[in-house]
Amino acid sequence: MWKAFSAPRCARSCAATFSRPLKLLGYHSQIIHNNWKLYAENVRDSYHATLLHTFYTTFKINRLDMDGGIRITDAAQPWHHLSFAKRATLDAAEEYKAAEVHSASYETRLNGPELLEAWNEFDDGITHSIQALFPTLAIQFTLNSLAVRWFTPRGVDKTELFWMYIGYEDDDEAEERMRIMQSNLTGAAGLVSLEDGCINEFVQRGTKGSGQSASAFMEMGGKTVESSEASRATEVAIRGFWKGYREIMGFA
Amino acid sequence: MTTKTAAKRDVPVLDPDLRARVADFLADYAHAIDDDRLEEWPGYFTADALYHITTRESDAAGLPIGIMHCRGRGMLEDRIKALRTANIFEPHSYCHILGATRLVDQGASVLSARTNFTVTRTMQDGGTDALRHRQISRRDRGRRRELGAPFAAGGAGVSAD
Ligand SMILES: [Fe+2]
Repeated sequence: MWKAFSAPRCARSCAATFSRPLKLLGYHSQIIHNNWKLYAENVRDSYHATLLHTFYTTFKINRLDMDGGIRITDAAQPWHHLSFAKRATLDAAEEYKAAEVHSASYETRLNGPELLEAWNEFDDGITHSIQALFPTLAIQFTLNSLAVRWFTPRGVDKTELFWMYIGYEDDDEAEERMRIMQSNLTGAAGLVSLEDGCINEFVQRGTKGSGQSASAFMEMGGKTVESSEASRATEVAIRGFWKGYREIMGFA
Repeated sequence: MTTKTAAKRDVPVLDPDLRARVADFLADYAHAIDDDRLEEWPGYFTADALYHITTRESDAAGLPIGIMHCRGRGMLEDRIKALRTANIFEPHSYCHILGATRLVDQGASVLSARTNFTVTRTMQDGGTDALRHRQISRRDRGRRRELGAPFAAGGAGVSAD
């Protein structure tokens, strides 16, 4: 059932994620005070991760100056996408600049550095990936933390966001411990994700405006939905979502 | 899990002085958070503390990932550092209302304390949410474990903060 649904929509790396027996490590949900479509945009917006999530940039987990891209994973219905980044590619660039600036790495100043202990799980060098499946599902790998995220509307300006953390049955003790530690990055109290709930609420208030009849309009560049293999500085994934939404709702 | 161990060797501590000292400790802890003296918070833990916040369901199922999991005081200090210098969030304040503390002697220098609490969170616009928690602290040669179990309707009720 999962395979029939996901196979044509997922990137191959996503299919590989579910090719071994899984182990449930935990789950919870949180209420966020914004319309569900704002969270759908949040999942697909590749700019904000490095602008908003200081923890990602500071600790070099996910930055736009790493090699990465957006892959539209279903050509027939370009509503689904994979966003990916390769952490090691930034390290190389850093070494190049090390002599001039920022010699001190903030990472060494983490008082509990085991939070970010990780191992290279895949040989393609991808260390951060989010496979978004239209409309409300995302499968993410951050370092070694595998999580499935989905959300459901609870009102016009209220959304319930669910987090499920997964490992593999054949994980050894050290691997499971690293997945548990890294889960602190995401979820309701995640060092990174806690900001999404807040910022979406700000956008909700700003979009709604001060009056009942007020509305906001913001046009982004570009019109097409196609893969951007070399850069995540693009809105293709967001346009892909709205393309799907408009087609289904008959607005197209 | 702490709760299961406690069920096996549930010997309440009746010494009123000891109980008062633990209750004071927990009150000081809560007031440090309510008064935004967050830099003091890691000091309530030993260097090898385990700090674990989870949900009722995950705790019952014995799942290792809850909502927050810190091993060692260093990770608690990092939380405060991130909160103060890195994280973006809407300013808010907390008020903890603590219930009575019940102490259980688990032998081998292990003392387990349970204090239920309600915490209100007041946002910038004055809006206030109430979250209810059960807290279990366990002192094992000074180690401390905390178990918060939010139980709002629908399994939700934890807000990002
Ligand atoms: Fe985000």
